[in-house]
Amino acid sequence: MSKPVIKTKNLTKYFKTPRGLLHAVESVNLTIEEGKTIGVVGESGCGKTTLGRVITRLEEATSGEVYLEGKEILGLKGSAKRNIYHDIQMIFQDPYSSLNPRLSLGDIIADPIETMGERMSKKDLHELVLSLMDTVGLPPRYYNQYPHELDGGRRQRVGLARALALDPKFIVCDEPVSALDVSIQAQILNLLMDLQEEKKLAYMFITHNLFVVKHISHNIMVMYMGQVVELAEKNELFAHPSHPYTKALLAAIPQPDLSSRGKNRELLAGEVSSPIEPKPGCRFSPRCPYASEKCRAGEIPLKEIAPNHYCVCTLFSN
Amino acid sequence: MVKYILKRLLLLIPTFFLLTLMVYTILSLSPANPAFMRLGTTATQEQIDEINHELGLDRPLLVRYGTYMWNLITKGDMGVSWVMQTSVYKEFMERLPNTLLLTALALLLTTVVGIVAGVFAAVNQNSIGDRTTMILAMLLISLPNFFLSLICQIVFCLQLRWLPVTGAGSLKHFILPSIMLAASRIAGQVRLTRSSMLDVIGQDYVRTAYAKGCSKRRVVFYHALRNGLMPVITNIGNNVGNIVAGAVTVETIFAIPGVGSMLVNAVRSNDIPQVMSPIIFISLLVCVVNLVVDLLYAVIDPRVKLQYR
Amino acid sequence: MKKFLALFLTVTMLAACLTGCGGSNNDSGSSGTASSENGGSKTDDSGSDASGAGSSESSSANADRTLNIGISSEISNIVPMSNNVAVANRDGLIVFALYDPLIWYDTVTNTLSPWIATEWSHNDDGSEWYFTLRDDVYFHNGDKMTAEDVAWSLNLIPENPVVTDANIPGFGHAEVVDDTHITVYMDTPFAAAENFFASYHMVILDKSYQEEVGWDGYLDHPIGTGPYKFADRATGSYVDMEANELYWQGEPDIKKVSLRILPDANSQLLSLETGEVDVLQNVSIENCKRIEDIDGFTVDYETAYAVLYMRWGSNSKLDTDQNLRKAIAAAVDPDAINNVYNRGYTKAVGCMIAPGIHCRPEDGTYTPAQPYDVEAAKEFLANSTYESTDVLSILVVAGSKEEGVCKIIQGNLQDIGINAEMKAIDGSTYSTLTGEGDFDISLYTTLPSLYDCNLIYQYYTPGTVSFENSKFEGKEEMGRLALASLTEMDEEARTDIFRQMINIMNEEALMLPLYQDCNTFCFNGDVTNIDAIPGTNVRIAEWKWN
Repeated sequence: MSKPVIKTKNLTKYFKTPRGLLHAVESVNLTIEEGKTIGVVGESGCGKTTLGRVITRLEEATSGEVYLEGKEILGLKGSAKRNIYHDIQMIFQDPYSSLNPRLSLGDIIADPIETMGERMSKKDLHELVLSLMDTVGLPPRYYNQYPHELDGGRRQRVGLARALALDPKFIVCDEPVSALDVSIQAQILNLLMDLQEEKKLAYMFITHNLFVVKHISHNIMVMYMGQVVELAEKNELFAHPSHPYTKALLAAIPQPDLSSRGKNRELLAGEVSSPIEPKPGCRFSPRCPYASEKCRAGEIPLKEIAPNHYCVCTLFSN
Repeated sequence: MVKYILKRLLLLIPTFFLLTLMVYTILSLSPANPAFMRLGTTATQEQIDEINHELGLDRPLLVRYGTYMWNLITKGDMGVSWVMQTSVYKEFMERLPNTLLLTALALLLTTVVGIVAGVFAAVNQNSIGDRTTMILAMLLISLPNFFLSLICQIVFCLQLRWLPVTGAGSLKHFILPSIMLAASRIAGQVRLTRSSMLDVIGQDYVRTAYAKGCSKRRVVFYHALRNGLMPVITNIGNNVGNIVAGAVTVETIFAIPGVGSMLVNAVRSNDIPQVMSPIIFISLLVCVVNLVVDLLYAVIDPRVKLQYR
Repeated sequence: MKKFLALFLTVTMLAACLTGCGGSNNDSGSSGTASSENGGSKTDDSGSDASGAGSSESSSANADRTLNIGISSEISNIVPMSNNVAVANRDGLIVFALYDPLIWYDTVTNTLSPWIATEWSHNDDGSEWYFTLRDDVYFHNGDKMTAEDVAWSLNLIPENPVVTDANIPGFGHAEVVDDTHITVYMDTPFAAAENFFASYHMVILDKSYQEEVGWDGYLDHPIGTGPYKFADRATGSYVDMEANELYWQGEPDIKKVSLRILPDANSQLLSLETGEVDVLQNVSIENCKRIEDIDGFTVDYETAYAVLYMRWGSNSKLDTDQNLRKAIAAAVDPDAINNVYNRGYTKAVGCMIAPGIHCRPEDGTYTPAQPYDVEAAKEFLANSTYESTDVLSILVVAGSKEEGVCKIIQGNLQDIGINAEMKAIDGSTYSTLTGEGDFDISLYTTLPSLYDCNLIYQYYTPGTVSFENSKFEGKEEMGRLALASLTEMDEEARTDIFRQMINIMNEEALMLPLYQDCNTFCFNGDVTNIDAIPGTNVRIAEWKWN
């Protein structure tokens, strides 16, 4: 077993809203190993993006711990806090708005090196930026161009080059391909995977696209309203989805196989309940066809229902 | 880009002529007759005719305007004051440095203080500092210039004796007037900078910058400010016009012999040659500054630059 | 939009507060102190004759100090007669510092005394004037003043029609007789020629200097024979002067003087308080009262020869309707304006010329103006052509004190049922409209610049636009009397002519005199010997450091 790069312990994030606390991320425990990808899936608003941002400290966690190679990082302050970005980087969903329109590509990619990296001459910096551009497949002629002159795929390559500039160990990819054309999505995904192989990168891949997650991840974590509901190796998960929510999620995937048409698909009824001051117990219970009194009684423990397959559901708690 | 600048410069010409013609016409429509101003109630018709002839007022309006503009453009001759019979050019040139200094100082103050306070307020959104800044800005915007000037004169000149009340002898004389002139503009600038910065700070690329590991200072000054200042720079162009217009009152209150007070006096006595030169100066200044701002815009914003290729 | 509204409300509220305060101050102002103040101001010796010659040197501490005098507007013409621009009344301060007239007019005693001319006389019909000149007068550049300079200066008069036609009708030319004598030839006699030679319209300029530098050069650096030399000037800002050590009356006590233009009334006050200026001339009565309350500052008040009066427009229905004129005259209460608005510092006056002025008939020897009488006013109004829908326009110069007076008059007229609206306009439009006669009522303060009754003559000179426009029946008679007043060299006969004119004016209510204005000087404790005088020929040369 390779060594864990990121480990979280009871990571929790609540937002203050005028109507009460919004429970965005609730007691998340996960481990990401070197060279591995964990896919985080769930519908919009389930807290997966917040989880990524809390780990990268773009949001301050309400409680819990995050260990970077065994070192707790949530307590770090000042420059020590910023130093985590040597190892942790992030790629964002929208390649259009996440690049500063007033900076040239060269400047954008050089920015993290200038702020964080070693001091180097202009020429070395230029060389470094060009090699980074080469790594992500951007020709050098783009060096002096501005983001608005590029298409979405190339912009996302810029975002990736920028994230790689400090040679990190762990990258949070927040829906990096959802804004791109399908053909370009594949290019970017393959690039990410090539880089992982080459640099032993760990990824946390946040997406709502199950095809993408299946393609890129080693492990998959399913979230519902801030809570982890299921966590498993990807083939195991797709083969034996256990949590009713996961089942519903997988059932919602459009099937290209016509023979399965008309088959009874387990579709969800009802609305997502409010994440503000949620009731105790399983948050999926109001929509769950199997829900019982036990589901609303209190915390349900994470249970290993198969080797490396964890699920949070009263169906398995006994 | 060069073509664009040339185009803009060429556009200045019709603007300039239209503007001066409008001012000239409006002034000429006034019932005031300079002959009466000089002759008083004892004027006889012959005397009035004589003065009207002397001033060229017996010729059609367009001919007068044409002559004026011809002399101005070919000889730099601004004519002779109808009331004082002195060279307008000489007086204008004597007064110009004062106005330039005053407006430059005020503009500098507006821009620097406005941007610094606006950025400060935006970065510390909803803090006490932010609230205080915005309340101060509101206060500055709502207090009339003359009233604020009076209060400051009493406090800084009379009570504390730090600054002189009136005059234009030294730089010290310009401190209070330029602050007063800048006051209401600063308020606008602060508000604009703040909202513009807040807008930018909420953008994804600012979050990206944090994710890169940029310090707050670098995020604010390197990433956010560049984008947040775009509308602010446009506003500087507007400010120039407003500040020069505001100079008219401030120069009177602080007894600074500038182009603004020249304009006030001239308008009061309906002295057209005397009115024209400050108006031409102010309008040209506003036109040119706006052109410069537009070009600056293009230099700063690569997206705009693209359009001018 | 909301912000705009808020701003608008704030401004309105502030304005309301300010005017509210002003109003209450006016109401609470006590009256009746005018006479004692005016009396007090005359206790210092104000005789100007030759006493200046032996002025003692003051303490050396003040030798280099500049006396700063705050004035409210730019000097209209720093070189009289250099061009066709009249010198304004307010410019007396600088004109009589830089230049000398031929004769000196003392406005306190109303006497003429020798100045550049040691003696003067005229032939019987007034067609020739003979002047004997001083031989010890030098221009600021060291040139000796000669008879040639004086004659040349006088001969500039016809080149400047504004000055000539209005103020010395009938002037012919001047000739040099010898080094110290000149003769002035009049085409037609002018009874007030003496006063003209003592006025700011006519001062002695340097002929050779003008020929050397031209008028532009002269305006850039004026040269005269006066007690102060021109030093420096910034248009719209200041005029600096230095004592003339060669002055024929001896060097003045204060060596450096700076006239500083401070257009804003509040800034003037603050500048005086901070010591940036030492003296202020003709501050509003309200501000004078404020300065009086501050320790270390003195205010000197003096009833002026300037009179505020109401006139009717020659194209107005008032021009032909005697009853309406009288109704207005009887409805306006000059005492209320005097005591309330001016706090008793101005003085009621029986005709449009102040008492004491040359050839002005004594009070009691002419028909006084229509007295304040509301009942009579209502009766006059009933007999007039005024209809209740008529709105009479009152012209005033915007920002002048007449604006305040106008509001009281509007109230007076409202009391008898006349609707009047105030039109506050700029000075230039005012001159034009009053000249053309397109108004109902105008309010204006005038000072006879010659200290002579010829101001009356000027209003009824046949040929002027306002005279020609007027449809008043008696205007031919007034015109005849006016022309007669010009050439009548006998003072008593001339006084009688003016008496007849004033009688007609008051009986017919052709004008309504309201009050004699007040001249003031406000100054700090460092200067002394400053006296406000009824006229404008103030002499800075008499002032001293304390």
